[in-house]
Order: sequence, then structure tokens, then C-alpha cells
Amino acid sequence: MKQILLATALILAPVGAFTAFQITFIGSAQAGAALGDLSPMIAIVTDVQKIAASGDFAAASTRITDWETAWDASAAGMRPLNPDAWGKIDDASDAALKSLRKGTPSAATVPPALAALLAALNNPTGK
Amino acid sequence: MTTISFPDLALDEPSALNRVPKVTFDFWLIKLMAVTMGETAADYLNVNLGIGLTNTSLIMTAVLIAALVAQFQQKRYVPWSYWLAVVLISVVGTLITDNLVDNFGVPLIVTAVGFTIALAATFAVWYASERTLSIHSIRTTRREAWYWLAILFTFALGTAAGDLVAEKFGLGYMSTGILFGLIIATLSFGYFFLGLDAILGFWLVYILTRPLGASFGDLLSQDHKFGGFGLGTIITSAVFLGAIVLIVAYMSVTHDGEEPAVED
Repeated sequence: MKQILLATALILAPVGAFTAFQITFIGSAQAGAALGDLSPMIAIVTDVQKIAASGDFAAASTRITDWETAWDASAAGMRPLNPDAWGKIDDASDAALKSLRKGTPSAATVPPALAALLAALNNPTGK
Repeated sequence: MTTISFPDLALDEPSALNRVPKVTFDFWLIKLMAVTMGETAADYLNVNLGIGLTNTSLIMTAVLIAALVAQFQQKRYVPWSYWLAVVLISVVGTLITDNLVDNFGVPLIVTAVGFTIALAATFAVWYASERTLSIHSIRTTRREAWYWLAILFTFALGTAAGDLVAEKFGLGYMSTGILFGLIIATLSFGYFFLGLDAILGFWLVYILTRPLGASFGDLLSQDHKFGGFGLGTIITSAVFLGAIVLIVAYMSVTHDGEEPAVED
């Protein structure tokens, strides 16, 4: 029991110090922060949209993998800049990927999902 | 054919050797790199195999089972098979957490609490059955099974805890790395100077090196614009894999991770 208490104290000490430091010096003023330059990613999604509009959902599905790769690769750096905005785009991304990959993609489901993803990318902070 | 005898190893009694390595500096170094590799490799396989998260998980689980069968057959510590199993457990542990979050919609907080309970239960039953949790007397197949089950849960818990801190508190990988590095530092201080129990300290640090390694990997792989080194996941994984292979080769030559199993 003494050991558990010692371990708990040893974990809580740095967590407390770290939290105090964060609040004092950095603050939680991340709301509304920008996610950085999203234009290369917007270009990929616009491209997917064009391919999907032609009715070739197989090619659109292949091309959206480039978006998924770029989005996932930047996640660790981008998400902390604004977790809320990042989360909104990520949800839209999941929906768009699903529309092209699950079951039979159709003109009723794919274009709205891609449009929603583009809308989220063009206005990530919802202003 | 010459028969070579090792009287001090008592070959007719395989339990004389500890089947898992001694905990040394290079143990932690390689563990840190193996966890990072596991995370980037899991992401890479998931995205690039193009067979979906579920199929990737099933295939990697099958590969892990094969590696564990090989490891259990060694009946002693052999660096390549031990560390291959650790790297694969790291991959599968990450995939399990991803599956629970993405496919089943389980929130990260629930996964973190769930794996804490699973890990605690594993230790409880392990202790009830063996009367020890020592990692220096893994000399039967049953004890080795407990050891690997605990390791699997520490990886899943470490992944969930790291993601939870990053997502809920919006910490970047640099801050996450500093936070987990500090906790590991105070636990080490506790072990060396305040009499923290070696086995408790070992398992706590084992969990925490998972998010620390993930932060380290992100630092190397992320783009310059996010403050990273911009190496990308493929080069980062390749560099770590190369370093792991070198250290495992070094360990195989020096035998410095081997130890006789202690009595308990």
C-alpha cells in the first residue's frame, strides 16, 4: 500500500508541476487558432470531387487515399494547434472516406460528403 | 558429432534460465524505439496495405501469434525472437486501440480505464497463481504467458493514455513528450533513492515509455512547419528499425541481457 502511495505521489508531482506551468505560461488560449496552410490538402479533395463528379467512384476512392495519407501524416503536428477545429475536419474526413469505401458509392452519398469535407477545410474554425 | 556440455546451464532443467532479458540501459533504449516503430508501422500498414483496419489487425495478430510461438519455443532469452515479439505486440496493441476507437466508437477514456482494469486483473491473477510478479524468474511457460499478456495490456493502455492526453488536453507531441519524460524521471528517482519497488516501478515505466516513444517518433517524422524534423514516417521507421537491428545484433553477441532465473 505504501508502495502504491509512493508511486502515485511520484506520478502526480510532475503532472501537477507540468499542469501549473501550462496554465501559468501557456494558457488554454488555443480556441480559434488556425491550423496552418491547408491549401495542398484542399487541392486533393477538390480533385477527388472532380473525379467523383465524372461518376468514376473507383478512381475517386483511389485518389482520396492521398488525402487520407496527407491528413494522417500531419495529425500529430496539426491537431494540438486547435483540437476542436481539427476534430471537425477529421469527422468530415471519416464520413467522406466511408461514403467512397463502404458498400456501393452513389451520387446521392459521395458528393455531399465531399462537399462537407471541403466546407470544413475552407472554414476550419467555423467563423 | 561432438556433444558440447554446459554443466552450469543444466540443460535438462530448462527453467534454469530467465526467458526474458535483464532490465538494462539498452533494454529501455530498444524498447523506446520499438514502441515508436510499432506506432508508425501500424499507421503505415493500415493506410498503405489498403485492406482496411479490420483486415490489417487480423493479419498482424496472426503474425504476432507466430512470433510468440517462436519465442515460447526458445525457453530462454534470445534477443531476436524476444524483440521481434515486442515490436509486433506494439503494432497489434496500437491496432487494438485504433479498432476500439474507430470501429466500435469506444471513447478513449473508456479504453484507458478498461485496459487499466485488464492490466490490474492480469497482475492479480498472475500473483495469485505464481506468488510473485518477478520478471527475474520467468522460467516456466505459464509465467511467460503472464508476462506477455501484461506486456500486451501495457502497450494498449500506453497508447490510449497518450492519445487521451494529446486529444483531450490539446498537447503537442513536444509537451506530451516532456510530460511523460518527467513522470519517468521522478519514478526513476523514486526507485534509486526512495525505495520504490523495482517491479512496480518497472511496469509503470513500461507503460509510460509507450507515449514517450510515440512523441519522440512524431518529433522526428512531423513536418518542419509543425516544429518536427520533417523525416516522414517511412524514414523515421527505417532509421529506428535499423537501430533496433544493430542493438539486437550487439545484444546477441555480448549476451549482456541474459541472466539466470532467481529462486523465489
